[in-house]
Amino acid sequence: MDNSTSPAVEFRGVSKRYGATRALSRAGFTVARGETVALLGHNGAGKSTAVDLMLGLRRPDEGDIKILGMSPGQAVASGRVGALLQSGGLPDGATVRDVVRLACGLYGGRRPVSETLSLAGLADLAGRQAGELSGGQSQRLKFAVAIAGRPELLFLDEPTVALDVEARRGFWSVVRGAADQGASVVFATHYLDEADMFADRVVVLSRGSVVADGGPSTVKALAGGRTVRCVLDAPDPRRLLALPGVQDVQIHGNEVILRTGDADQTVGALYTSIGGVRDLQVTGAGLEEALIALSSGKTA
Amino acid sequence: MFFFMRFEAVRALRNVKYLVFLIAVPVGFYLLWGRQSGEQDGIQISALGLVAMAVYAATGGALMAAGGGVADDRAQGWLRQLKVTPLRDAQWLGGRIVLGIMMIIPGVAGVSLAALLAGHVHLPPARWAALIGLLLVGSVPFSLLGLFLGLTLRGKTAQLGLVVVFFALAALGGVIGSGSLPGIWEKARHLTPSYSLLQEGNAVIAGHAPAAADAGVLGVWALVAAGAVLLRWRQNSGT
Repeated sequence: MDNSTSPAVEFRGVSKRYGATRALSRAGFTVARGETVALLGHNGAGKSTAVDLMLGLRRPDEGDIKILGMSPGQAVASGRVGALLQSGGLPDGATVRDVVRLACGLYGGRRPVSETLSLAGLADLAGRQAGELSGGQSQRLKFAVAIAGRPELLFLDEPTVALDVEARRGFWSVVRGAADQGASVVFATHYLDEADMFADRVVVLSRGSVVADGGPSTVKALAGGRTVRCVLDAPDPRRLLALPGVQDVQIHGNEVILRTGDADQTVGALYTSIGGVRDLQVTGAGLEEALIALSSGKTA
Repeated sequence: MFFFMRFEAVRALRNVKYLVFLIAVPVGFYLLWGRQSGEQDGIQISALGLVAMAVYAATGGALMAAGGGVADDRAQGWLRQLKVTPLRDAQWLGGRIVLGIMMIIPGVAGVSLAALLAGHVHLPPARWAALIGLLLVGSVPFSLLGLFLGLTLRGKTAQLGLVVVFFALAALGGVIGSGSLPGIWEKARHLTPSYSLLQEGNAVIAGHAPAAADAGVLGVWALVAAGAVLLRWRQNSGT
C-alpha cells in the first residue's frame, strides 16, 4: 500500500478488556491526512486506551488498527509518529536541552534542536532541569519531544489536563504554531471547548464505544437539544418531565432548567399547562450538555 | 542509539553522588589501606589492592549505571515516553547494559592512577591492559544484575537496593574486608561474581590465565541475570 495516501488512522472494530473491565468495545473511527480530530469523553471513556493502542503500547483483543498504513509498532519505529502521553514523563538529572537533543537524535535529526526548542516555547528554559519545570512548561517539553521528528501524525493525550487556564491557552497556541502543514493531529480531551476550538472533527467516546462522530456542530445536533430556563412559583418535577420534548429536569429553588429536544413544544406547553412562567430563556445546548446527553445514552 | 547512550552518559557523569561513590570512595580506600609495601606470593601488596579497588569500582559502576535511575524513569513515565519514539526496546536494553560497562571506566581509571602514583605499582603494560579488559568483560553480569534490580525495585528502594546488593557482593566476595568467612559462607563466597572477578584479576596481574571455574561463575550469573531482565521487561511491557 502507498503509505503517503493511506489514512492517518484506521481504527476498526477495536475491543480491549482489562480483566473484567471493558475499556473499548468495537470502537471504530478513521482520521484522514491533515485532519485534526478530538477524542472526547469523560475519564474512563476509553480515550487513553485508544491512544495506547494506536501507539502500539498495548494490543487490541479484537479489531484492526492501521497507522499511516502500517501497524502501530512499525509506525512508531519509523519515526513518522509523535506522541505526548498522559502517563508519559520526564527524566531527572537532565536539562531541557538534553531531553530535546536526545529526542531530535532519536528521530534522526529531522528537526534541529534549536528549532524544536523555540517551537515549543522553551528557548529561554533550555538550561533548566527537566524535573524542575512547572506543569505548563513540562507539557511543552513533552510536546517538544513529540514534534522533534516532524511527525506526519501527532498524538496528544489529555495534553492540558491539570493546567490552569493561562497555561492551557499557551499550550494550544504552541500546538497551532508547531503542527506542520498537512500533519494529522489526534488529541484526547475531556475539555469541550478544546474539542470545539481545535478539532475539525470530534469522536465522542462513552464507556468504550463511539457514540458520536462528526464536526463539533454535528455533535451538538446529535445531542439535539436546547436548554429552557425559567422561574416558577411551585415547580413540580414530575409534571415538568411530562412536558413534550423534555429529557431532563433540574430544579434549584424556584429556578427550573429543562433540557429538551423540541424547545417550541416545551415552551408552548409550559405556558398552557403550567403557567406562571417568569424569566424564560431558551439557549442552544453547549457541547458540555451534548456530551452529558450522549454519554448517558438518553438521546434518541 | 548513539544519542541515547550520550544522553545517559551525560546524565550519569553529572550525578555527583554517583561519582563520589564510584571514584572517590575506591580511590580513598586504596590510598588508606591499599598501598602497603611488601609482597605476597611474589606480587606487590599494592597491586593486589589495586585489583580489589578496581573490582570495587567496576562492579559498583556497572550496577549503578545500568540500574540506577531506571526505577525513577519507570515511575515518572519517562520509559513510556521513550517507547513511543523510534528507540526500540532492544536498543534501550542494550544501551543500558553497554552504559553499565562503559561507566566502570572513571572509577577504574581513578584507582589505576592512584596505584601508579601513590602505590608505586609496577606492572607490565600488557598485564595492566589485560586487567582493564577483564574488568570490562567481567562487569557484564553486574550490569545485567543492576538493570534487573532497576526494573524490579520501586522508587527509593531501588537506589538503596542497588547499594545493599553491591556491598553484600563486595563483602561476601572479599573485595572489601579480609580473611576467610565462617563455614558455609566461605563456600558461598566461591559462587559470588565479585569473588570470581577478584580472583581473575589477581590471576591476570600475576601473569596467569584466569581460572575456568571463575569464568564459569561469571558466565552463569550473566545468563541468569539476562534471563531475569528479559522476563521483567516482558512483564513491565504488558499488552
